[in-house]
Amino acid sequence: MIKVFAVCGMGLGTSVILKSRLKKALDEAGVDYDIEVTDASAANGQSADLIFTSAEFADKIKNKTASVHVIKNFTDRDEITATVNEALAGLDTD
Amino acid sequence: MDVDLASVLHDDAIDVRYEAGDWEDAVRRAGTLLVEVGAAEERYVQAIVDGIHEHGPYVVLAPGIAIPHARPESGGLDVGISVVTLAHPVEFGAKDNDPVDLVFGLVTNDSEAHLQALGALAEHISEPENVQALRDADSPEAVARLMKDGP
Repeated sequence: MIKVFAVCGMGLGTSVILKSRLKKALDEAGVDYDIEVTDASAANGQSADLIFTSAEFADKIKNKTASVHVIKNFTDRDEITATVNEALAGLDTD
Repeated sequence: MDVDLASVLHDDAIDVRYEAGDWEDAVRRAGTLLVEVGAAEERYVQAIVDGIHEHGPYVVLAPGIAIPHARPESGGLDVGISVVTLAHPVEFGAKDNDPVDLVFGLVTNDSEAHLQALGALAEHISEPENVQALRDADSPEAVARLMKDGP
């Protein structure tokens, strides 16, 4: 089970949109995952494998266990799929 | 419960080709529409602006598209979406996605309906033809129709 966070400032606006896009990409990748939306400060205090967020928050996330991945365009399926697949590939080689 | 965009977009919460002086003006217009239809208290508008000053332009989540929002406890009364198209694009300082000419004001109450409405909005703006049609719309009625039925 891969633990995934979708992070934005409020934890309930843009991150919810990001979550719905990420779920599609993760489903397509066929991995077993659990995804939560959260704000940046909450993301730092919890254990996770992968964190996806916008450029504004990437620098604010100091999670000890997760790798952080930036999504520039939350509506671009190709970018999200490519970023998710890169992130998953990074997990495999750990 | 099935929530679609039509149920959260109020016909009076639409402004087309608004002449925004800057990003804050555009954001305040989108927020004020939510106040006018009773979906948010007045302080919600300031909370949105404060959030962008604090966190940066994270509400600009796709090229040309901003979805300003604040926390429900900052004066959110209901689930609602407003739509403001801009006569002239404005810069938010978002290096990847500036300039912005489509602004979707969002207010939530942290409910299941909120999640479904946001999912529906995400789906809608992930279709490039939907986004282009909204940019081209010349009346609030046209925007309402596009948001509910697509191009």
